[in-house]
Amino acid sequence: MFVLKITPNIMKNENNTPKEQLDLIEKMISQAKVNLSRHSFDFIFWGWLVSLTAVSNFLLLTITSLGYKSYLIWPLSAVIGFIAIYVRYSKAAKVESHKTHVEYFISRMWMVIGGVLVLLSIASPFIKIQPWFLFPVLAGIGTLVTGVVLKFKPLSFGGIFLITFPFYSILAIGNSIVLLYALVVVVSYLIPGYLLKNYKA
Amino acid sequence: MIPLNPLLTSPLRLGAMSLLIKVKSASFKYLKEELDATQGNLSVQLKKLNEAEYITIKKRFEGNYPLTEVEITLHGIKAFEDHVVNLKSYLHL
Repeated sequence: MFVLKITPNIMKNENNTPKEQLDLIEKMISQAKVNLSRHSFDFIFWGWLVSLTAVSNFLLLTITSLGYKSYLIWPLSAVIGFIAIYVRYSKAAKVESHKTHVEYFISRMWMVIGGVLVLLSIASPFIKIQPWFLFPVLAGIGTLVTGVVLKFKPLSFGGIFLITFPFYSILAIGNSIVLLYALVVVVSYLIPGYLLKNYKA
Repeated sequence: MIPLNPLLTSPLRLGAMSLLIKVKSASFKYLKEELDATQGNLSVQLKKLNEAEYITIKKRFEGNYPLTEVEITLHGIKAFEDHVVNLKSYLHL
């Protein structure tokens, strides 16, 4: 069976003129653009997980008599999160068509930040780590860099909110710092995540 | 004037190199769709680029799915950049 395949003139089989070659290069390069919306999943997922964990932590602190034991919800939440992300990316790798340099950089950066956050989560019961300092700052650096690289301002502002959390959180009284963190995560992750999901370049 | 690199004057090979210069890696399927090429023709052209060490072709399995990944090499980037400079000089740009 013969199949007639119509190709655009620019892709004809014989060699193109220098002008046609430059046009072809321009056309192909403009085709390989970063797909912004595919980065939204991580921010939406972690946004929901972290904010709900923070609210649960607050409720456990105020309603139950668990006290500091209620903070164990954080490493538990981190383990659930990383398993879910691992499963998702294992599946995505099977159908991934291409990865731009920007996407490669962002994924490797978050791998490093994620690894450090996991180590800190595991180490936190044994060493004196101020969780309301290191965690938001590390996550904030990743968010700010992602926002700057993708040129997406809501994420950049979200990163700044997280990085500056240790400063303005000193105004929070008692356990309300946990609720404040939930609110900051909504502003820094969830809202930019949904905006990114619906973003049309 | 320096003669144009014959490996990059073919539209399919040049198109593939132009796509690969912008990405870290691309699947064979992606290149085939973007270049609107047939599987056989693209395989032949990519093989030529691979032999010239302009690109690397890696075949692997993700579960039961075979995946062919193509990446441009540093040598390929240099050849592509030289080709663009050469094209511009032909057009007096």
